[in-house]
Amino acid sequence: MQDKTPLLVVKNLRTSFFTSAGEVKAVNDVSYHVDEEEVVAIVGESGCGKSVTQMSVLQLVQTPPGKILGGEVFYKGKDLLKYGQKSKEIRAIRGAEISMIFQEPMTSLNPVFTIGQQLSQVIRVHKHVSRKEAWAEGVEALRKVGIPEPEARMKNYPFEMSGGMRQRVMIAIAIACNSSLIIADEPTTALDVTTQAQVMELLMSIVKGLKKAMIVVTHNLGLVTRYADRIYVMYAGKIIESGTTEEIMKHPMHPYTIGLLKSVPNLSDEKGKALVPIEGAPPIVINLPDRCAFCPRCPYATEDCMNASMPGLRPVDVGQKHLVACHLDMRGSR
Amino acid sequence: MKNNTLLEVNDLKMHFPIFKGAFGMKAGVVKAVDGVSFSVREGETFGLVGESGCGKTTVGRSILRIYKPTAGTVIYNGEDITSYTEKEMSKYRREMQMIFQDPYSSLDPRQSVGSIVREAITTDKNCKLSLSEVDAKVDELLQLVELDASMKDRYPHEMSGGQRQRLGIARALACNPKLIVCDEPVSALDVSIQAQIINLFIRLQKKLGLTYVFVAHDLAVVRHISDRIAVMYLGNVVEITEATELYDNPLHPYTKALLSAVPVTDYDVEKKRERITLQGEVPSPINAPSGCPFHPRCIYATEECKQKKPELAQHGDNHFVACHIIK
Repeated sequence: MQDKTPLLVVKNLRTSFFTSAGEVKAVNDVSYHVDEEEVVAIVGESGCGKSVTQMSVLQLVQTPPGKILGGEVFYKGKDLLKYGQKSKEIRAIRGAEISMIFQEPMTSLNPVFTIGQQLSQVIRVHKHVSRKEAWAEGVEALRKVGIPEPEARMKNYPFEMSGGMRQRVMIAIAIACNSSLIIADEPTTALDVTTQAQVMELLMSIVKGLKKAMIVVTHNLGLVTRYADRIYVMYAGKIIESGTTEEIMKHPMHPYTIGLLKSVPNLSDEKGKALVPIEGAPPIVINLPDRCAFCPRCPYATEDCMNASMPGLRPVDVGQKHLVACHLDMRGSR
Repeated sequence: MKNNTLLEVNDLKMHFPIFKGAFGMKAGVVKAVDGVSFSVREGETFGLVGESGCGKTTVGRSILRIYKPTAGTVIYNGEDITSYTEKEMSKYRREMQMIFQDPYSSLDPRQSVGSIVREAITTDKNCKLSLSEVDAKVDELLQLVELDASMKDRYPHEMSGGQRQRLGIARALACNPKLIVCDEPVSALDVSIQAQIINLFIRLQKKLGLTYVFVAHDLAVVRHISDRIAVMYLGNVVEITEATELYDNPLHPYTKALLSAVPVTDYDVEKKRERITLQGEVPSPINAPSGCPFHPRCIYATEECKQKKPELAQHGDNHFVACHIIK
């Protein structure tokens, strides 16, 4: 397989929040990349830093208390972190080049403006078109996301629509300016399963049809298995495992990934198969010691794990693209 | 598992009137539950699954007589409790408990863990325990749900989501219940915590012989814990069967779509699975469609489906489906 050109390369990104309790290292030296036309998933539980990572890419982290401390974010070869948070350059990227779909479609849509006003505003910010043209493009975007009677729907307010419809509007806003990369942060978490399937199928058909790239941030392992090409697993602000979906789902190497897969009930399981939970709770990332953050919950942890410093990502096998941050060799343990 | 029926629900209907305007004129009814029947055996877990708005929570609440059903009967332990007054119900209140989805809003933020559990024990009029015995019971209950005894003096906000849900369970168990209605008990929890709570439910059932009515939208979770499952759609039960049969051999078109909408983490299985994506949205229960409630979204729908509402009919062992297409 020939290597595709990376669209987005994130290197050693660090974002912290400075709270009264101490520094929260929400994103702690995170590196990843997204190729053209690729669907990449960032998987982790709440509080692992998966959303903050994405917000940092577009400098949407509120400062203070948050602050991007370091790293590089190369998008099409340009380092986005060099631009100021309110600079013209970054604003030209947000929405137009990289667009974001948020989890809560109700809170990310403005309740006092109609769908049409919000949609055409986005278009007019990024394109030099008249109001009329922007409106027409908005109607077109709504039609693309499968909203019936888009002309009438443009005049609706967000509260007049169902959750699935609102999420479709968010997708319409995200694709209205023909961005090359869509970041979907928990796009279907608030939705019912059949609506989730509808929205995901729609997103995928748009991404594949228009040859876009997408980052899906989620905790839903099934969703990832179905839709992602590659996966990054995050825990306590760090990426602890990465690889293709097939490699990670078939041969997970980090005890946390293994634990997650064993603890999620699966429709295809044999009846009566016991779930093996991960004991304990995810850590609060304040003043964590310099060692593997999963150590206290890890059933395989050894004395060495407790004493050694934080393991870095290493290839599972020499030359492989499947990377894991663990002192132990977990091959063949699933 | 014992075979005697603990709970029987017959043709349960729960309609909520909508009032509009300054004079509170009745403007319509929400048919939240529209003719649901099932029975639950002692010691089993009965799963109620469906999407939001399908009426599964309303069924759960009607069983506990939090609502007074519009029509139909709820028979608990051989007694028709449908039209019992609050006073008559009081003898069953302790036997029938509920565990809620959001453990935070269902716990008093100003009460300590110990006092929350203690209150559930001492509100029993027949409670003849001394103070020290009550304290011992509190410790025993906390141990039962695997909460550390040192948690007793904490407050709900100092606990994690999983710990709070354990506390909710301890409070329910304090009443020595027979039947527990669990309303989405794990959906607010992190994935790695869900399994801990599910396993706790299973252990407690084995130990105490509890009967669960498990209401949830997550099919995988429901299938994992339930013996039998009822799938609900728009206030109606469309399919009831054993948990394994439901996954291996779903019959109703809605059940099939629902199952295929849930992705699995087994890579090879997932890549081969058939995907059915439903079109449209769940209609409003105010203007429910005529005939089969699912017909506007069903690809197999015929003229008969539009006119006549299908009844649950038996298709194979313990497998009931409400569909005209399945013969």
